[in-house]
Amino acid sequence: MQATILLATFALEPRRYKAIYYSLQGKQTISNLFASHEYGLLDQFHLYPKLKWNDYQAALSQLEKEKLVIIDQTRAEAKLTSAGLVRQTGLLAQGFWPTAYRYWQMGPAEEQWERLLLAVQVVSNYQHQIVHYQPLTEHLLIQRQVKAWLKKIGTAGGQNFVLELGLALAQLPEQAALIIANSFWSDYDAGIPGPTLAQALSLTPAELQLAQFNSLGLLLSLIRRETLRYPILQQLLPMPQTPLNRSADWTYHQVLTGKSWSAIVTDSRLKEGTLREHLLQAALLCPDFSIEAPAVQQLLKADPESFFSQRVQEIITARSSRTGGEQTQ
Amino acid sequence: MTATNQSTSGSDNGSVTTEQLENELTQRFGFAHFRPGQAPLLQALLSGRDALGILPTGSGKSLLYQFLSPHINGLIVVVSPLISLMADQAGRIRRQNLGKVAVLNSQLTVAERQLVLQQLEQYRFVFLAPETLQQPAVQQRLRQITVGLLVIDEAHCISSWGPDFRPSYLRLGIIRQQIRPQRTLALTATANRRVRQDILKNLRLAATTFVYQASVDRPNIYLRLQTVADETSKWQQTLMLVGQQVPTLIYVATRREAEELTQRLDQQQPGIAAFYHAGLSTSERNQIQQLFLKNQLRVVVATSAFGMGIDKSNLRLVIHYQLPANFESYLQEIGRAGRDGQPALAVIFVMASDQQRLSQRLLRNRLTPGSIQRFFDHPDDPQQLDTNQQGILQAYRQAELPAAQVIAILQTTAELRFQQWQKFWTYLTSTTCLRQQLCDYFDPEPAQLHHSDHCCSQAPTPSLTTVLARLQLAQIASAPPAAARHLRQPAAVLRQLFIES
Repeated sequence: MQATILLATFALEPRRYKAIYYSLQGKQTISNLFASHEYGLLDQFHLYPKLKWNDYQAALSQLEKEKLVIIDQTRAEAKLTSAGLVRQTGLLAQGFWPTAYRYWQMGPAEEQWERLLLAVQVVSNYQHQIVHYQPLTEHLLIQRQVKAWLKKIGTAGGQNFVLELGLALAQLPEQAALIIANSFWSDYDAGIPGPTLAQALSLTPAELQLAQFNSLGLLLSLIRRETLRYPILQQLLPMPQTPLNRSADWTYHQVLTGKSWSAIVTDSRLKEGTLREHLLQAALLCPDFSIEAPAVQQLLKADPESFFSQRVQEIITARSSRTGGEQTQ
Repeated sequence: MTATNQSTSGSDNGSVTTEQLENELTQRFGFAHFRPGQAPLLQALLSGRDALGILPTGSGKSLLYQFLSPHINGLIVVVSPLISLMADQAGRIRRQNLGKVAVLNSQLTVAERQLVLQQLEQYRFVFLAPETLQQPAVQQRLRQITVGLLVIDEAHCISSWGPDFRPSYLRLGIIRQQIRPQRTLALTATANRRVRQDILKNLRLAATTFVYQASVDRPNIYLRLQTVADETSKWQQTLMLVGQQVPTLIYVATRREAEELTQRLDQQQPGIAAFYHAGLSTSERNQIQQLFLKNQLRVVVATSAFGMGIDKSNLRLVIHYQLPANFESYLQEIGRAGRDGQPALAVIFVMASDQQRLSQRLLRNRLTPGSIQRFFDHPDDPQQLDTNQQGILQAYRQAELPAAQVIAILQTTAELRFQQWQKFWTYLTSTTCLRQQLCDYFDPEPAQLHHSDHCCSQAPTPSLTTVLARLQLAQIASAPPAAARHLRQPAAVLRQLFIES
């Protein structure tokens, strides 16, 4: 991986570099989620699902060699040097860091991106009667999803897809629209190769990928905001109903129904510790987490000094300070 | 060319005549004639025999199993060592509409892999990596269905005497016996006598196996050794070559070098070049292939990841900006040029410092007996091993070889690699006919070639300018000047991609 990209994940204060690695890779444990939350990296969770530990280590070592970070092997922590901070500021000013892409709300970025690009390839090829070709992604599930989407929208839907795309690109910030549109290609129009596009934008190919995700994040926000204008794009790029996995979602749903904690424990047949972890996940990942729910209040009052209570209060306080003191609902 | 039956008891080539096969070739693929070796190999396979085809790059190895598709019952399983190669070959089958195709490799998610395995009977072709074939679930599924043809592509990887030895190929012989394919076809572009023996032995192929080995000689490719004093001189001469305005492939050693050289070329002439390496996504690789095949991109700067399975027939110029790892890679890579049979040029740059640099690299990459033993004792502790070294040792562990045997194998292969490199260096510094040397090294019965002005040369005489003037490559197939690819406005992109209603 491009070492300098890692600079965006570190700060002047020491950070646990393993937690950052697992966060980028998307290893979902409470500990990693908390670290991601603490470091402001929750949205970038799962950004590099295929990242290998050796490559990550090599990138970190390179940053250390260039005196951009200081690594404390004993504590397994790393922090930016002042030169590293300057470099980080410069990099972030380039605007490629995917701040607009929210993993928990939008799903895996790479999959959404491939769905969009494949849909463009398929519709363009279809319109130009190119029947036999290699799909631009090898991911079978994505191929099947796009095929199912195409079947659902029908022949006329293809043209509506193009109209929606045009409309959405016109509504996006100019740079994001340029990046998305110039990433499209089909067997009829082979477009611009990624490296050339990166060069035209004064980015490296690795930075371009992040810029693409960022632009995609803006597009997804738009189509989520204006549901009536973009029905076909919404069908193509479905976003998760909830950021929680099935079991955590069940637990949180029970909490929202107003059940007492003891009733939830009895109904679930899971360990209490596991259920509390589910609630912590919900507190971390659901922006509208209901702290007022009876079960949550019960737990907070039962032991205000417990790990659970402390963490929930931290999350709510941090969120409240980010939203100007108002509780997000 | 050499065609042999491993045993005198082997049957003849079956009842299908070359003429019949050629008729089908024309109808289904649009070619009038087979390339050397294709017809006898097909005849052998159609008569039910296993076969080993040693055919040079560009001789249409993949056509063999594509052709056989309607002639055999059951699935065609193709074992292939590179993910990019699998994707390329699968893509070609899809484009030609030859049947349903699946690719099974580490890039699939667990759910995707299960889906393919569940529906295996529905596919006509399945490409998989040798590592994937080692998985019990995959083997079990293959045993449940009829495998009509097992193709071992790049079969030289099975030989520890070959330069690309892959330990994961070692168990293919046992697996082959377990999945019981009706026929087996082993394919490679390069195999000397020893490698050929290893392929037959390790794949446990019967004595009746039909073997065809073609000469590596490609008379339409002019070979040129270009000794240069330094990097500046190399760069200037590269610019001169690229200035020929013909489809060009430049090989470099690393991903970073591919990116840097592309950037330099692009600064000279925007939009002229793109880089290609295994670090790109499937989508990016496909896009670059598309542009290159459609002559919308004139130069590709690539690592060895490029080319396998990519048939760009009018490639006129192959430049080795950096030396390939060995003779075999060199031969494969220059073979991408001039597939249309028209004249092409293969230039390899050589600097005096290359010898020491590459020798040291070989020595540095050697695994010591101590580090091998440590890995086997503590496989979870990677010590100072790089990813590649870990992968090699992991594959040996999976092949259930004891540490002592692995140490012996790796010591032998390291020495062998060094010898192979020395032989290649001898070639790179030689003054005799380059084509003859290639044939002498690779062909089992090398012919005496007639050296001429249109054959090969070493710098300084004749000069590279003279060679270029003599070959007139641009007159054969000049690539239209690549359109400078500036960013297009979104509306313009959509207009280009889609038909307006």
